[in-house]
Amino acid sequence: MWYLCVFYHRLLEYRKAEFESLAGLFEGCSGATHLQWRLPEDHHPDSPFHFVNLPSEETARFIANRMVVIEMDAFVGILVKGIYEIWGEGRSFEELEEAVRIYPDERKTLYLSSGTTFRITVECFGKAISFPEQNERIQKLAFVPFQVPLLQGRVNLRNPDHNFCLIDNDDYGDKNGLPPASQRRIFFGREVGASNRKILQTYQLKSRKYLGPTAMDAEMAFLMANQAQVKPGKLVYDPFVGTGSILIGAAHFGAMTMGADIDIRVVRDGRGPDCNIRSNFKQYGLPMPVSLLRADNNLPPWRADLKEMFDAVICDPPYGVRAGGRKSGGRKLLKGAVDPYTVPDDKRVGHIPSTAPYSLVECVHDLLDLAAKMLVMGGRLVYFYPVMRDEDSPDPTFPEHPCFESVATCEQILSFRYSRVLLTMVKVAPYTEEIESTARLRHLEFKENHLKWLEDGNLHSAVFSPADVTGEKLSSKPKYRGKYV
Amino acid sequence: MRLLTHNMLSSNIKGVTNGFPLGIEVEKMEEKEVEMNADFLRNMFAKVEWKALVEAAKTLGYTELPDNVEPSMLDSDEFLHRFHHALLELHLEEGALVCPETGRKFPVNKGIPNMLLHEDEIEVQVNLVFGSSGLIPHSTPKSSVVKIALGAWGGQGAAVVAPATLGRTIFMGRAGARLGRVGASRGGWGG
Repeated sequence: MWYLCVFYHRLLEYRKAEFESLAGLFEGCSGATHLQWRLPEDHHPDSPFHFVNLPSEETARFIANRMVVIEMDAFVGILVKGIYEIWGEGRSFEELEEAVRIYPDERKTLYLSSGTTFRITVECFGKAISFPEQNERIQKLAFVPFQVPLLQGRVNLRNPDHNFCLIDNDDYGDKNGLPPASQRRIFFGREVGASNRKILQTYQLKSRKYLGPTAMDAEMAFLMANQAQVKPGKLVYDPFVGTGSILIGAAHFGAMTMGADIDIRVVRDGRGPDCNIRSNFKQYGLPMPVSLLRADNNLPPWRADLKEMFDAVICDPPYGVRAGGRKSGGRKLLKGAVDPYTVPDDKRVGHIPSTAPYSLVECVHDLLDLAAKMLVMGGRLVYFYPVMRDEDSPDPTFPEHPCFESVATCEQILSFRYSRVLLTMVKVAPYTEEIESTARLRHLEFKENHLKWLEDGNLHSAVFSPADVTGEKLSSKPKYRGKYV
Repeated sequence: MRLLTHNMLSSNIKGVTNGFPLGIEVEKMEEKEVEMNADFLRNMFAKVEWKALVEAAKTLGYTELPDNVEPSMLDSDEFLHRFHHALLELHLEEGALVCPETGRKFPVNKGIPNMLLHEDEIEVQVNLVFGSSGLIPHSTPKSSVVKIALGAWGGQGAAVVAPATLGRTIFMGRAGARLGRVGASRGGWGG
């Protein structure tokens, strides 16, 4: 059955991906469930309105129930505003009236029986509507469901049994930077589920105690957890845990969390006894991570026969723009210019080993290899990958691994120069020795093509190099902002 | 650090062939109550090295885990509680993990095990070099060193076949290489 899904108008590429991930979570199949989507007439692909075909009435109700009944804000997508069973749509109120009239009565009466309470919400995309105007519109609706003689429900604004929604989009043309809409379209329907973005306020970074320079934004951390199909009882690992901002998102959804970092000051000490990773978890009343340790992603300390341990690996690898990666061994040592420093016996305790820069290519290789080995079948690897926004460069290619199938690639523009892409991969093949060597070869190919941008510091200098002075001035005319939202 | 972590870790010092299980030196331990999740425990049961868990729990003073187990025991609530207690509620706060082969101590402070290796414990570098005669001294201009991408990331002892047509001496060492950057002959041997 088709439902209208209304998204928030932000992170455009993430929206359907998140919805599909969550749908897959409920279906209980983590394989890439691609749902059927349809755009309303006259709508731009970036429009917040999308029709989605959910496999069956039962599934839809199941999802809706889970969303409404179990106070699971967790189960609603962060980017989904609401899901509606549409009773009618049209370009004008006349068309809408006609459409609602035709809509089967047995579907309507289900929600209009006596003794139930209801509310009508009026919304408009691209324009704020004043209360008098909202009332006016509701009055116009008088003809709609209320002609059904059975309707004897009462209005309840606080906590209605059924919430009806009148939504339209302003016919703003290409004004105000929103996706161009040539025609106004009005929808009327019953709300099946609505999202709860209040958690974003609870978890916002500005009120979090312990932060680092690259702490993950709360909205993005939840998105990542949803992409990874996190749910209670699952074990989630972040090899670059930092201040724990990504694991907090996963822990909110009930996962057991585990994190490692090469910087011991971050994982162990933080900024004092009340300002460290653990205090962050405590602040939100989340269970402590199952494990935090200091380890090098380049030389992981796991026992050799350990595999298929984690249900998801979620991370934001250091890509050298705001923070660079480090790995064991000094720079000179790794180049072979000096012998390894032999630590005198009396200084072994408390010795601080030297580290060297850890290039992104190598880091991502290690990450894929670790995830291929340590994820359960069907487990997901979710991580960010930087991309230069060079107009004449071809479409970016992303790391591949024979154990993984890509489920989603979602771009978020960070600056004029570069963006980051959230890659979601699902493990589809077991990790064998053969795969280990194939992956190595494939990886080298990848590395040769990308050496230019991804080796030490290059990404950093590309992002921070002075701007081209001759570039044309930014026009002051508001135009469609596309993925900048 | 909980015993689940202990059960996953091993010593990865170079040359150590069996770094599991790590010994435990206890300076301070704590018991913290954690909510039990039976599904998680059943899931972990298959992955845990049981013997190592029993030993580790004993070191921390908990002796109620049975020595021998079978999956059917997961139906017993009592067993689940013991397993849960050992796996997730015993915390090593201060102490060390000890490599069973070398005796190297990985310190545990404030519950965080520090598994980072010292300089002389990591497998060193790229070992494949093309040269015209013998080992290339470090001062050799870079141009005479053929740069090739090494297919040995993360692998140990990976065989690298060099094109014979070069007619040059191939030095091959233990390919503990991490970065495919050939710049020197450190650790290379062969002829």
